[in-house]
Amino acid sequence: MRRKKLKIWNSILALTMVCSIATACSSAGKTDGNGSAEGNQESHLVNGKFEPPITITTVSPVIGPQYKFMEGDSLNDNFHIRWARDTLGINIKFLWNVDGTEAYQTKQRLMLASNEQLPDVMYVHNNQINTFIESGQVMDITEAFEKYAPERLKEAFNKDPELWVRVAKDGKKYGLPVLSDTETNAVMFIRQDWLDKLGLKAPTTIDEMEQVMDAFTNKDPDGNGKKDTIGISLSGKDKLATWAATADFVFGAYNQMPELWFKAEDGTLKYGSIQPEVKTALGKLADWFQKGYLDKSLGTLDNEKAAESFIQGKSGIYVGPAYSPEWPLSDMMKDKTMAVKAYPIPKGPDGQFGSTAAEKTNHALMFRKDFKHMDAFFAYLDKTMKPYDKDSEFYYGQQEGFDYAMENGKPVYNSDKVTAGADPYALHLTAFPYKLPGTKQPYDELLAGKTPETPDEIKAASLPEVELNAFSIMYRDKGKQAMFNAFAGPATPTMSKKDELLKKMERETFLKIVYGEQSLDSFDKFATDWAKAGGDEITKEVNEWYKSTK
Amino acid sequence: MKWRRSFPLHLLVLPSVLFVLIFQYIPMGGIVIAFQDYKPWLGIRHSAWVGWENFEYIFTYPDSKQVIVNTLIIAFFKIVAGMIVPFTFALLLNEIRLVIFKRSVQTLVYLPHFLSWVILGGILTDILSINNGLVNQFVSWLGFEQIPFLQDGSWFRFTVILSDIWKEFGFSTIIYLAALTAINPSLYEAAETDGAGRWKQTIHITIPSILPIAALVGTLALGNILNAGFDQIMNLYNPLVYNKGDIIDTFVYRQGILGSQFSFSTAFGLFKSVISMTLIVVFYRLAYKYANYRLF
Repeated sequence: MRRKKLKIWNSILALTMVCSIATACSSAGKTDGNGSAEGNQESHLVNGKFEPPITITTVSPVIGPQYKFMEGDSLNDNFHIRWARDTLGINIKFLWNVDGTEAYQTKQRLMLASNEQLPDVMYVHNNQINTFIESGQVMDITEAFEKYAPERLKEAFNKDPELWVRVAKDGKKYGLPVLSDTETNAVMFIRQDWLDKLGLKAPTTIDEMEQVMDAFTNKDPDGNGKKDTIGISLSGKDKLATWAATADFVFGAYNQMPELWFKAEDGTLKYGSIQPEVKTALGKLADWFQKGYLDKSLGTLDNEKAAESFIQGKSGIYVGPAYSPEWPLSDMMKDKTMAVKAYPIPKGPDGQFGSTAAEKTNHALMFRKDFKHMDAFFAYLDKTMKPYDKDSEFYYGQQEGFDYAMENGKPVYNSDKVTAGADPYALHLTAFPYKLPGTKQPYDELLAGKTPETPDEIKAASLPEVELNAFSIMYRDKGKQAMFNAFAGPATPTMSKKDELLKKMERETFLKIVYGEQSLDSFDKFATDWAKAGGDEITKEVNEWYKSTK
Repeated sequence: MKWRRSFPLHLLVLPSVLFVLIFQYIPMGGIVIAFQDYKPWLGIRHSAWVGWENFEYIFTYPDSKQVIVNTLIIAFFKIVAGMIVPFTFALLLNEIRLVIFKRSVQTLVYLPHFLSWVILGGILTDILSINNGLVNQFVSWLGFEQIPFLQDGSWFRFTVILSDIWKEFGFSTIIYLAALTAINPSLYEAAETDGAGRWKQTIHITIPSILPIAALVGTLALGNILNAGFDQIMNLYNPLVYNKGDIIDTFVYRQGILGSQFSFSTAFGLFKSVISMTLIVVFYRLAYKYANYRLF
């Protein structure tokens, strides 16, 4: 989440780095072929343990100099590594470690450019997956997955084969996708005290929402005698269908989403932004703008800035991810004079609702081409994968004294016997907790009054109630609500050349329509211009990609 | 004998030379990717050579003209105002007798130079916003219609230029003030004896004395004719003002960094550098010939 904030700095950094990376690449080193794992090819399972022990190398994107190990532990000798060695016969070895996406990806790029040997197992972010596939240095795990993967993992992937889409190429699977940790489906946050004061009910449809926004704008909900409130906080600096203070639900209510590819009835992929439903939604937004429900400066507001009007009590509605009460609305949670409640986003005329969803998987684990021990990796994953059963040694946490302590036979997570702040999963081969797809969420049970027991439950129970509610709503509705981008491939040739032009055209037109600077009918001109300026070619290429994934 | 005396001086300059060599000259090798279809995993040595293709692409890209024109207009006004304002301000400040007042004004005006555009961008968005912004509240109090400073192309250019001048003029003033202190006081004494007032002294002594510095600053500033200020515009612009506010650097950022078109952005960068260097050389020659000014 915080990454958004750093975007500008990162980009400046990236600008300066482009040149330096390029230079560094020219000094490519020679491949040295001394694989560390190959030496033990004869190793096999003896009572659930590999004899002789196997070494699996990896790299860490999350362990920086400030990472706090348990006393006496270090990167290559810690409780997790000892556990893996003693119970599974697997030696985990970190080749290098950094903290931060930017630094990690730079090191990965350099590793490829200098032909260095890759680690056996490696975390790869979505935007780098294709680079690694094209490099030819990573393994096709299709067969290994069928042969060695734990049954429950296979089941989960069989239930939702789309999970593979990011790592699939020409019918081969080049890595193990990892489920996204944060889910971004939008939830509506509304000033309950304003609703109560004006005698209104929370809106469930776009039409009802219009009435509520009208009252919020014109009936002085904050009672200061001035007409200084607006209906809803929206951000338009980047794009309208964004992730916080978003207008994506308006498009979703008409069952279409800008900048997303969707599967049309004829079985091909089509681009959302040029569909007539988007025009209808833009008409709604323009109408709201004209009636004063929206901030007159919304075009200049980024997500955080747009949320400010809601935080400062100048706006009645905010739509954003379920974690919003933690950020960006955190200041608001401390203010007891404002009552905020979470509701599902409103539905459109056909009872339809929707919001942009983050991809189901946001990174993948990829394996070195010559890595010989997928069986060991999957045996390891079987033990460390979430959720943990009652009889799992990890049920209460990863390591007593590190992320939990036992007091009177019960686990505690915030005692002074616990190493503060350090993430135990950082020591895993998977770098982040690997969750089985379809894991049950704790929110509903907690809201129903369950006593929290596991670390996840206890963590969730410490959230503000409005956030618990928001998460519960989100997990309940996300199946119906989430709109995914049906195109998950690498940028097509025309896309790399023309995407910037087309997006600029789109965002400029949409915002100007909302502002009333261009008529709603200029949307039709945009749709034809888009097709002519390269959109048709991109559509063709996207569909070629789509066919290739089947 | 001479070598022994100058050796320590050479030693002193060595770190700077190394610095420039390592961080300025060696990375220049990277510009070869402007002539390649550069792929990070292939590196420079294995990426395919494409000749002038990236440059052709720049000049056939539909939006190139728009961003180049925008850049030229914004940069031109920034350069011109960025010379006139500090020059005038230095002259005015020079006339102030009260040293404490002079010094505190000087300090106050160059403070904004040290703020980053990330912070200033946030502040400007707030104070210039419609309805709630300080400036627009004042404007409506005066009885005028509120001004879309950041939401209308022409106003956006105006805001960008004005806020840049406000941020930087104090710092540029320092150079002129330094030049002013270097003027020989006996010139003023002689002028006074001849009966010249403050105004005549300014016209005939002060301005001619600092003109060479102005010429130098101007010549160097011309190198920036294609730099309209990436961090400033990046932090202030939005889709509403693309038509008049989108500049080369923001465009290269969107296309090159967000779209991973490294070769394309390098090509655009190289194009910019070549133009800037040509301008500097030409204007240096002109300054040499007509103003008899030599830097090298």
